Amino acid sequence: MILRLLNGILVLGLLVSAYYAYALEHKTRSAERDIVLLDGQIREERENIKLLTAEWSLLTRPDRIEHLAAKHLKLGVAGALQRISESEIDTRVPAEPMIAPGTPGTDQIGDMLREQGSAPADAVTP
Amino acid sequence: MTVQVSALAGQKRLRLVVCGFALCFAIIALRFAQLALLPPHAGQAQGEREAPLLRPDIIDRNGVLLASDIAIPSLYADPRQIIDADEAVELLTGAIPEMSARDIMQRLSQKRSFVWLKRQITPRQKEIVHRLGIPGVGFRNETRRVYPMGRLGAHVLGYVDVDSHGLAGIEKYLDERGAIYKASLAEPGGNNTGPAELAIDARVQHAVASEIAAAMATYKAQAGAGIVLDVKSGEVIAAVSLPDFNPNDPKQAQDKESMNRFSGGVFELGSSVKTVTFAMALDEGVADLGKTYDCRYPLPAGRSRIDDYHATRRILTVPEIFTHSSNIGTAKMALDVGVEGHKQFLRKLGLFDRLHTELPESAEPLYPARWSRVNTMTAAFGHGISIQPLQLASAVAAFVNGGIMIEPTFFKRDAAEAGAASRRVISEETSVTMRYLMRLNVTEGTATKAEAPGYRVGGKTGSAEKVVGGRYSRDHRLTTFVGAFPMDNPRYAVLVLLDEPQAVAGTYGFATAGWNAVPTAGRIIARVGSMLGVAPEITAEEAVKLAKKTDAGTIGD
Repeated sequence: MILRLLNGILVLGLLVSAYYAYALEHKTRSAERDIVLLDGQIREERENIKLLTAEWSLLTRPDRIEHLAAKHLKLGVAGALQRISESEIDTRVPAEPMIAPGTPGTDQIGDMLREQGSAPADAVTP
Repeated sequence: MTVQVSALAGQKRLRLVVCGFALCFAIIALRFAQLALLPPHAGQAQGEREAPLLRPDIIDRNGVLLASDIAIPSLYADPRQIIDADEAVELLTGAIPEMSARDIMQRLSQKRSFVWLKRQITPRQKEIVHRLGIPGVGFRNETRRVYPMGRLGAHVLGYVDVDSHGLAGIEKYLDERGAIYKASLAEPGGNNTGPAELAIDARVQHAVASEIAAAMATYKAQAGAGIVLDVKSGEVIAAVSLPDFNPNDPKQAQDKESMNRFSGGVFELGSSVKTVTFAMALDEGVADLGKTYDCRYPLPAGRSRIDDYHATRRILTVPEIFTHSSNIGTAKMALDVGVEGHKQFLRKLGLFDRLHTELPESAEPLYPARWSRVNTMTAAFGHGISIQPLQLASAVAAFVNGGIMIEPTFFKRDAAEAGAASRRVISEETSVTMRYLMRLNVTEGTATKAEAPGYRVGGKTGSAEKVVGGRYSRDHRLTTFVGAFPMDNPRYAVLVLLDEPQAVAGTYGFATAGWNAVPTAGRIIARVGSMLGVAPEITAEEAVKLAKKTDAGTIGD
């Protein structure tokens, strides 16, 4: 009788442990699939980041920027006169700002953006 | 009886079976316990997922990307899965016009499961083909080394072959240091490699390159080179050699004209080497600023005579010898030090040895094996000894930074590393005197055109005659300027070299350094000074001059 009870318990234990083992394996497999998936995504994102950095670097090449600036802007090489120390700031700021955002004619970059319709007019008020 | 015996035998057999099972289960249980309790074998688990080691990215000192490995998609097809080949060809040629319809058709009719349709397509083309959704057409990524900045810093970066082996420059250096070094740059936890950080500043590099290129065009020079060196850390901020090449197309680099001239070649640099002689004579104490030398007559040296280009025919003081660039006076100063002392000083500066930096392109200096009195006299003004321009820039950096020679490097480094790579070559007082002489030469000597208002430039010119057909030629010159700024507390050394500049309109028939290399250096300094964070100090007189010059073309007019 005791032997039979023991057998019953063992069979039950076997069933429970088998279920547990299969459930565990199932979970492991799905976790493994997730890992592979995420690894793939990470790799893809890394490649994308690299690609974008390279593209950014390509687009911000100094010779390209220089060429574009010469073509579209009336800017010169930043000279010694354009640099002032922090202590001079309050004495050197012109009374009338050279660039008044929103006023056509003084703000070249702003004008260009407005022409293309990508900047809301008077977005920035001084 | 027989029943009993068989029952006994049956029981025995049962016991055997039970024992067998128990043993099996015990083994399995032990194995489980081992797997569960002992830590997993590190190498095994990682080995499966380890990706092939990529080349590290190369970035400049501000993090601007200079070289990178990019996965370039290539287009392939599985002809057996193609349902309608004609439609596929039509769609593909529509998406990528440079593919020929006949070629694709021929490939698709092959009885194989894999054919390349086009290697290395652009991300945009990939996107278009992807959207078409043709069954049986797919992409595979191949790695390619790209240099997004193109020619910028080509001689420093070097280039790689199709199998991504570094063939020149920093790329070769990374290979020579081996996979371990490359792996050490890897970011922890990623299969990506971290960047190699150069000392180069892309903006300064571009400014120097464009000014040298402009000078070559203006003065019809064959080649040019420019160096900007941080005198306090030995970092090479910019190193330009023109003509250059585009590392994305390594074939261009095979051209002999596009060699590395700042460290891969040695030149007789002429009078700019006088800085070395002056530093030596002043440091040895054989000359001081008050001492005079008789420069009235040419100095016999062997079978020829040493004469001055800017002949004064009078007795000159030491500062005058410097500002008039007198060969006679400098040769006499070197003789005062003596042949042995001179050799020792040159050796101390490393001018007899190949310069060791990260770049594999490093030429060995050329000098006579038997060094005589005549050699000392000519080497005093930069003839008869050929050195790399970078060696001279590095020596001049030492003369102005307080007398500490720091090994130049193309990698970013901190103060501690710079300290470890430095040694004293002249005293602090000599350095102060050298700064005075070099500044004097720009305010009233041969290098007045190097003045960049506000940046207190100092330096020395050199116009070496090139050897053409075994003789020094007056018409083929190598002009140099070597200097530093700001002279009250030097931060950067600058060297400009022009190969065979011509006399053009505006130089009054002159083709010496003062008329080409020197103004180029001045323009470079005026342009990069603010990028490098050197605060300009402008005198009232300079301000008026500057205001006139920059009136046109600035913001707001």
